[in-house]
Amino acid sequence: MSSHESAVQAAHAHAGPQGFIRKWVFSLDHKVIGLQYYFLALVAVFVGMFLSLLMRIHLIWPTAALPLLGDIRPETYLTLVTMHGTIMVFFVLTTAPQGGFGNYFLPIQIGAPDMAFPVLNMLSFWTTFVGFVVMIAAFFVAGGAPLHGWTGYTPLSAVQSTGPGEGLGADLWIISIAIFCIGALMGALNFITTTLDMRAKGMTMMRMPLTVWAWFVTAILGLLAFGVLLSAGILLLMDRNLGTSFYVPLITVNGQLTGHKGGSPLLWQHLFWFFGHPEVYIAILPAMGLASQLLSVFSRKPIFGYKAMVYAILGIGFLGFMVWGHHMFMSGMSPYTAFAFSIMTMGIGVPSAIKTFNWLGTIWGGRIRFDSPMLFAIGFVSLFVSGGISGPFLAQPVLDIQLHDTYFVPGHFHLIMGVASIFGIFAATYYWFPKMFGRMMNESMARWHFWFSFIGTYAIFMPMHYLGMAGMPRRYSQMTEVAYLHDLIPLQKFITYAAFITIAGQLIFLVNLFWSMFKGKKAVDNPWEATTLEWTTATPPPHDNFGGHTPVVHNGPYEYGVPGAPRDYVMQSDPEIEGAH
Amino acid sequence: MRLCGVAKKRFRTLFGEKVRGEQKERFKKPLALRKTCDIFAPVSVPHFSDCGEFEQGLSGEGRESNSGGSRAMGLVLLVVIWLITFISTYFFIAKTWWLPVGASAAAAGIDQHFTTTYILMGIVFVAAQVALGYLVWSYRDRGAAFKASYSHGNTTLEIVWTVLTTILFVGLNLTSSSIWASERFRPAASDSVQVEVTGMQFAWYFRYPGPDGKFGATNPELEDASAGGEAALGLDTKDPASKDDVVSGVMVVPVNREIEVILRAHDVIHSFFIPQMRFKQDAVPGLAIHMHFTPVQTGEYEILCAELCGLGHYKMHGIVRVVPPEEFDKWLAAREAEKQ
Amino acid sequence: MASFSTTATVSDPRVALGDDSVLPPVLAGGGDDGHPDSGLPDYATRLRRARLGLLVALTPVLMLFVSFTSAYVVRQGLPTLDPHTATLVRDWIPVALPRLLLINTGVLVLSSVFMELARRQIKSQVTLVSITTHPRVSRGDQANIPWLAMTLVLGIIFLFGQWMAWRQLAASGFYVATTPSSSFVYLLTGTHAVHLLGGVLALCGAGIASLLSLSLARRSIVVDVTAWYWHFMAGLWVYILCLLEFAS
Repeated sequence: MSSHESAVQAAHAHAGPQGFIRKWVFSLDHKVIGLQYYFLALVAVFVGMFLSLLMRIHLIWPTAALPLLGDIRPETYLTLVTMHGTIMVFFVLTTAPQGGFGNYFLPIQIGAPDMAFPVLNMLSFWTTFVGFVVMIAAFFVAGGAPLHGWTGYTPLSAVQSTGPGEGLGADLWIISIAIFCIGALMGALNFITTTLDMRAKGMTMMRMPLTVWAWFVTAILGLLAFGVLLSAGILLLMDRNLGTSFYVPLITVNGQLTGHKGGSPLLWQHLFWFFGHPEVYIAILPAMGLASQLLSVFSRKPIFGYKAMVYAILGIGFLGFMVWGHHMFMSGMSPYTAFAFSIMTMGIGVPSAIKTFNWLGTIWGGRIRFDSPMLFAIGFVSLFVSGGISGPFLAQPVLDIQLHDTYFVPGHFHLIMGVASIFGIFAATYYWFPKMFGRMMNESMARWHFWFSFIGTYAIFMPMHYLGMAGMPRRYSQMTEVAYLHDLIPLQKFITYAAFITIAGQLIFLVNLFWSMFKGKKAVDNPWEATTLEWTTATPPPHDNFGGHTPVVHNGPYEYGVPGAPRDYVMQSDPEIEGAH
Repeated sequence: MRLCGVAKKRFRTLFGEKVRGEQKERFKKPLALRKTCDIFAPVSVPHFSDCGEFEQGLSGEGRESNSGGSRAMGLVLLVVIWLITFISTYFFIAKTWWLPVGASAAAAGIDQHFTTTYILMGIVFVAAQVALGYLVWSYRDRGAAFKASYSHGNTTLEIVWTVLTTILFVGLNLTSSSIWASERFRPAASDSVQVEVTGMQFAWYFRYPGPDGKFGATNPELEDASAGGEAALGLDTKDPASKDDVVSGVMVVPVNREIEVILRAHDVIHSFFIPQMRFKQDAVPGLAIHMHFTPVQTGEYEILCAELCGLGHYKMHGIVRVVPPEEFDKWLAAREAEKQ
Repeated sequence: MASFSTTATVSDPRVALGDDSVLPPVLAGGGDDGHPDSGLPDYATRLRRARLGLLVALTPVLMLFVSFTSAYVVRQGLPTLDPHTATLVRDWIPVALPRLLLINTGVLVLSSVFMELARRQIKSQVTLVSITTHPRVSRGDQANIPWLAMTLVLGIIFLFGQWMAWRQLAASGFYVATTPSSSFVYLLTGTHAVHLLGGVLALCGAGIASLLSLSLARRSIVVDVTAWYWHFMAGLWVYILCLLEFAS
């Protein structure tokens, strides 16, 4: 679309609200709300990264005193572990891909002027924001933040005397998560209703971009899972403060009976993981949808097996609710139940493998352009394979006996969730930045960022698999007390140095992001020559997305290289073209 | 070195652009320099439109053909992906950091299954990464003459690889199920040596039933962790069965006998982990979990807590001594004699 | 039964709805996203979207109570280790539920009936708005029963009744932490009451909207969605009562 057409579109656009508060603070515009979520996640990720930096330093220099913070005691280390995990999982991985990019681009990609319930959308962001404030507040109350890990197993988290930080800090942690649940549910409501009810004419379900499918299924997962987490949190708050015994049997802590009896610690694990497993699919599905999108755009080829990809997304979503027990093989759960869960877990590896084959099939025969979004998409595929391959080890209970609660587990989930998913966020940023801000990000810095991140994260997380095999347990604040762990310290040092370098590389991204917003080269409306609806509209899009007219869709989302077409891509809203099938 | 120097120059050039406020044309560089530079700085299409009517993508020719830069990037991606793959695989094959030598009857079967899984998953891992690297280089944009193939997929291929993957994953799991069954489905043999293992913040205690073969009652109200031994367990001395119970801070077991461990916890969840025995089980308050293993190698092995239990989690460790049967009998008899 | 009473006081049929969109008097159907220039979809679309939104919103509420139910069922049958004897014992003591809960149930079911009548009342107003606002049609003086207000009153009575039932439970010695069974009674009834309070607030909102003479279309959608929500809460309450009473 030329700039002349863009100007015309802008003139016809629905006028948005005026005034700073209504336009930027309590905006009802899904695009502004998307940006708000994105910047919340950006703050959260740097907080989370800083916490992990302190963890890595303490692990290899346990007695070192840090400037301002002093020396890190074992309980402080566990606080870092807990808050790092919680902040990253909730406020980064569940916020940026879905709340950030999903909010911004789902309506546009389906041809809608906004989300179904804009006021609810605004409330969902501010609820999430309040949740984040409450979470951070836990650091600053008496006793500090909790030390029970992001998984919060009971009775450690259910009784206030089990350790420092398990008092008010733990209560705030639970309340923050409960607030987050409500915000996420509000968001899921909007995503599902919008996708089902507000698609433009011609935008059938099977013409939706895979990003939209991913956001849609992710929202369904959230809808079903966050209610269960909320219920678990309510029971935990009751045990902690009202003396109930949902989770706590008859125990003594520090020589004192706590007054509870009859509860089941395993109940917490079941409820938490019933949420927790779908949660990791919530974290990865949007990135998978985006990888499909980017591999197609930058190979100038349709996605290989669109239908299979849709079924795979649906399959992953559905099976994701049936495998939670694989986090509990060693928990005291019945071994027969464990066996059933392990078969289901191997099953869920199948749709993930199908998606990987299809990604390779998309690149095959393409004309690859190595723009930065594509670099991160390729990196995503590599990291997804690496993180995914360690899954079948943990999924087999016989091997999990050895690997459970060792570093093999964080090696696995960081590669697939902590890196692959983050690469999805980076890819989305580089890809959609021109549309959101009207400028290009700096390609040179982007490439530096890519190489630092790709090589750096492999250097950090691949060695964790070796540590796990050698028997290094998780959540140990130092390795000084167990003889055989001393031999593993050099490997831990390597990981820490790799972390220093990788984290430094992320500063390049930060600089690039803010510099480009103001000084980046101005972008045309469709710099990547992509076919989905967001590239038909002005840059940045007008308030009602399409400048007063509703697009009509005639084509699928991946019509690249159509034989006989005048150019190597056909927009979804272009007239239907012969040769496209 | 040259790479860094040139890259730095590009960096400064870009920041210089901001200060001068000009749009700088991408300058043409000698081909050799261009290739290495392009890993960090693209020589490619202007993405901006200062000429208004920039009509995008006429059959891909709107973008300048960028074969030089594309070749370099594709090659470096291939090399880096392959290097990462081969280096990580090397350390798995070389077993540089590996499972400790197995010392239990179950270890051989478990380790064998580890090997099987590593081989199968390793083949998949290497194949996928090698394919990715190769495809990324092979199908780089080589100019308008090489068109992308227009294909929406291949249903037969989808079915084939779905079926094969399912067989691989589920089959792999099923082959391990017999080991899992023998470890966990059947209870301990009736003549196994019983040891009750109790975890508490932050120590392990071990209790033997004594000549009467029965564990005496414990009373949480009697627990006194600072006193150690029976007091730490809260042993109820009023129960006659308690009188001969032997409590130890070190776990001693005879070699080549099945050991039944009964896992308990006083306060929070702990986990009893002996890496060489390939044995791990959570100790859950409110439950008494019965497990078994058979040590086949004498020696001293470290017990680690493998479930986050509080600030002392990292130092909650114990020792299990596997000794010849005669030595075990002597040790136990001596401890039982103390109780009389 | 057609009622020709209406709260609209203007005669222009198009403005009668108070819609921001410019619509012909006929409201029925028409499906899709309204007119190119209006910026707002038509009434039928908005109603459908609101109902879809409610259906989606009720799913996590359902999941919350499914989760509580599974915890309840598991806890009932769960043996726990008695440390004194190192044997597994079951410690479930059923709670005698106050009779008042049956009365409260009746109140809530009746309120649901009233709610449905209120929903149909405003629905018929919307359907007939083109006729009733015609300048030549005279409005009858039919009694306009305030079903909505009556629902609200019954809702508040229900919540008050739940509070009284809690007091009765406490008086008979069952506090929230007394036994696992009493914990669940407070948990289930309390969570339900919180959700019903949300419904009560929505009714207040609908009432205020009526007093402020906001558009009939918007009020109708609010009442419709609140009504379905209210019915769900009534059904949920019956389920909770049966669970607590019979699944012991």
